[in-house]
Amino acid sequence: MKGQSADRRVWVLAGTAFAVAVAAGLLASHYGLPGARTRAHTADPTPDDLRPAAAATTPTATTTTPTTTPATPPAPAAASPEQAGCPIRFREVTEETGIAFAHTDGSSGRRYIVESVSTGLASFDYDNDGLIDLYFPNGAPLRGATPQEPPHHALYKNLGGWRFKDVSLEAGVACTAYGLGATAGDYDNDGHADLYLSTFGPKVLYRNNGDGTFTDVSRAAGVTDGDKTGAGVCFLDADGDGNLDLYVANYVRFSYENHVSRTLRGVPWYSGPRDYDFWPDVLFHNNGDGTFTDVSKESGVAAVAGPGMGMVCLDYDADGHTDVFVGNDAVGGNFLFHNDGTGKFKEVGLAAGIAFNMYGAEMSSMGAECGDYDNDGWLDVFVTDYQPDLPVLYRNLGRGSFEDVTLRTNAGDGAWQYVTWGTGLVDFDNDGLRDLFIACGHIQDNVELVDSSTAYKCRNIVLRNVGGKFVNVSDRCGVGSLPRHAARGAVFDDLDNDGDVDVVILNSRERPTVLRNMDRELGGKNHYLQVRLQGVKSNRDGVGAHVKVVAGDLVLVDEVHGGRSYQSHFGSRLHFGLGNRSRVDRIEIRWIGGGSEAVENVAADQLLTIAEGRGVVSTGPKR
Amino acid sequence: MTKDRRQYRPPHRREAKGRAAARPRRRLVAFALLLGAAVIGLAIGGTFRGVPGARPDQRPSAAEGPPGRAPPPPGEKPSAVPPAPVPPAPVPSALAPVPDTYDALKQEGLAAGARLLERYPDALDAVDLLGRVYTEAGDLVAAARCWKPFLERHPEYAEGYYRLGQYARREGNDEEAVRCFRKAFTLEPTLPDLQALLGRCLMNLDRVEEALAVLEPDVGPSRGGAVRYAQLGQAYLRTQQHEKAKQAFQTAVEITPSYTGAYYGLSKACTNLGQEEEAKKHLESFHKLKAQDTEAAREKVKQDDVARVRRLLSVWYTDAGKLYLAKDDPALAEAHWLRAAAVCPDNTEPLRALADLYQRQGKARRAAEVIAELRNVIARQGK
Repeated sequence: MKGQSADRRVWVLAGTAFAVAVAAGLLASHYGLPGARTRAHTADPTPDDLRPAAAATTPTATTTTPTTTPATPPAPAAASPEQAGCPIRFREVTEETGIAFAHTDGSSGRRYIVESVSTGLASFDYDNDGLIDLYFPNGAPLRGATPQEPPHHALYKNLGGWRFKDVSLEAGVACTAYGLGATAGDYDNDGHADLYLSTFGPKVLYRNNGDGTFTDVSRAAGVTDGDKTGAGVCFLDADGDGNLDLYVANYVRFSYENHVSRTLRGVPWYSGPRDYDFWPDVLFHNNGDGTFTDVSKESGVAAVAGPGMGMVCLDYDADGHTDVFVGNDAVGGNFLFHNDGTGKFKEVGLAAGIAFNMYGAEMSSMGAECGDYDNDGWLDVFVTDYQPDLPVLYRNLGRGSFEDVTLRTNAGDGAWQYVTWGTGLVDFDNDGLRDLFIACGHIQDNVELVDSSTAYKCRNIVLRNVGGKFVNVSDRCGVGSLPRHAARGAVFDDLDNDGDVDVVILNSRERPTVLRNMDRELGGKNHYLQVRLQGVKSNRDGVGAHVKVVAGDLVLVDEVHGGRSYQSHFGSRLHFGLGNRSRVDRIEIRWIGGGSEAVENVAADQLLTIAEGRGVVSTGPKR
Repeated sequence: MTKDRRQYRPPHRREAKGRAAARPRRRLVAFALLLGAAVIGLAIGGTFRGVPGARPDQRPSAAEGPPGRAPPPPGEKPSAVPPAPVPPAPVPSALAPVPDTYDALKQEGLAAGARLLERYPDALDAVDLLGRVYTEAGDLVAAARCWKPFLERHPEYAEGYYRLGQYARREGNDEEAVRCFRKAFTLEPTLPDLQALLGRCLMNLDRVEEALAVLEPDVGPSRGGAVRYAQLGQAYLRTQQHEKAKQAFQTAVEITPSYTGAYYGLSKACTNLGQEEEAKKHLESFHKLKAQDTEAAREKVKQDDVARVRRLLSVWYTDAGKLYLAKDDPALAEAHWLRAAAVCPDNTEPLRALADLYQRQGKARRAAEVIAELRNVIARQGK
């Protein structure tokens, strides 16, 4: 009995002590006393932590820009403690860029499906000044929305030194259509990149006048594509005639009249692709006179229909003809259109093993990207996905088929519980292996109310390629600790011409995120080579051309693409990381249309412009 | 894979051992914790009242439950759903209006689960039911919080680890899922799909040899054997054992001829074996089944959210009634089954349970009335 009594007292005292401790903690927290939550919060890493602490530790800026630089370029940063030892390092520079664009989805609370998918973006050099510019599509007021000031798309001219200027109005591209995606390509072969916009409604083609302005030629060119809900769009030369054709993926047959309202677990919920029918995709043949003809039926692409989203064109079987991959959202599997070389296509996704994931399950495909992740000479395909599911890396087996190698390569690490969108297979640390960037964000802005496993605003994911297997370095590279957004499109280009690839992410309903790759600034020693192609017989941008770079034991391949990622465009200038190799032995180019040529023995760390049949015609700044 | 898995129901209805012996000490602990909770409640209430800048509509209302909810443990995400009302509301009468919103139905389910767990804190079915309600509500954090204290008291229950593994898997935490599934596997390897789930998580972590070691042994009869064979086929494909992969996928489709994903694997295995014609045949089967799946999925999204949870609430009430009856409380069992039938008149299970109960109680007239109603429901469904 005595023992029991003592036992009783111990339990009561313990319970009381516990209660007092918890109460004290709560009160301390409320009043901001030392040790409380408010103080701990300030210890969280912030973007400021990535800025230099002392000049002595700051390496000299190596930014090289061929044009004007601002009076006070932002200082490069030192690596933060968590970045130390990580070969990939980013710093957010959005504020410094002067980019004030903020995406709006035109929502009114009625939850139209087009709001949820948001848009991609484009990075391209619209004025041929050697600096990559940025184009951000925007939403527009949907039925029921009453914005104070109608939003428009925005073109930001890269001034160099991480400064950008909004030139949308003067350039004539302040489009007010409901933007869903964008791509850039020189469809009239005049040496100036044109712009094609995917929209909810008639699509838009802006012809670049070559003087910093554009003209809307959508109707004259015949590429408005009716009144559909667009998706990914790509320029490609489908028949090898030297003119860029247009492949247009469309999403669902949505209109205000057939809008579907849903709830999930009692809360309003955006409807999905299974609620609607689908349009077949569209192929516009370039007539070479500034007009296009819809050849969807004759070409075979209209034989099937699906809820297309991100897409990418690639010559997956190395037969010299550009094929088309279209990611479909949740219904029917992805499409892979094989090109017979005359612009006739056959859908072969299922047989090629790229329609479904390894379990034979549909993906809710969002973004599509290709690149040779294992340096075996074949372009592999990476497709982002909904939650809870992994994005999928399809390894190209080289015999016209693909294999889902997501698990063995760890290519989906950290992505299971997020909806994933824009993506790039990009060599961020110039070590000769392509890394992965995955932009994340849920489509449902209220998902936390009904699902504790995910979030609307998420962090993005960076996976470093280590010998063909990916390692999640999101936390260590400076991306994991950044403010969270609902990301959509993502593009990857060398915005400051310093020899490493930077990142721009379009965030739904918010400002974009600009990430500066700090590899060069922080003393990265790896070499690189950038290649810009100029077609003469083939299309001027060299879209579809296959490039092979041989540097000692390293063999890299890539193609020029006219659209990729999540309904976006980037990378017209090819970027090859070379590791410790300071020279390139050979560059082989196979142009669309059949021609090929080679350039030998060139120094690394520069941008080469190679014209068809003329070899190297200019070299960019050497680092 | 998950498509073919039916909703798990614990196969064994066991009771904790030695409950009576531990009762006095538990009362003391409960008293101490209640005291603690009261103080926490006061503290939280005071804090909320004093939040600078908080608008009145940001403060917790009575509808959100009492403010005495304990904060989540450090490092744990706050749960998305308010906790079940404490103390639980009494079981609604069969004549009470059936809520017409998801949230009200969910709250009724949470109350039923909390009531059951409060009365039988050591009953597996009680904790499982509340966990299921939280899972339906999308709150895996709260669901896990139901199980953890139970498992601390009863580490012998495989079902708890099984559930925790499922939650971890849903959250993308394969390491934790493997840890939980392994514990469950050690205790009871024949739980539905457990072998396949553990194997899949190991595959996700690229631990293929371990996955094979889990998937290969025949641990006895369990539901979802086809899923295990399909997962085994995937592991063989991954290790280039294509003939074995083919055999595993073949077994899967023999068990479940409509197993879409197994045909896909079978086709892959045949392709890898150079058996192109056979691969093509299986791919065609896959294609046909996939088209059916797609149509079914499109129909599924059209389901009314409220109707779906109303049916679930009826199932929860039915299951709760079974536990009350097993614990010799036929009155509460009857009340729950009556409510289950009222909530979802198309659910025949509570009617069957009521008919059986009335017959055993010798209430022939009431049994006949229920059986007549049961016949009507079945006839309606037949039409």
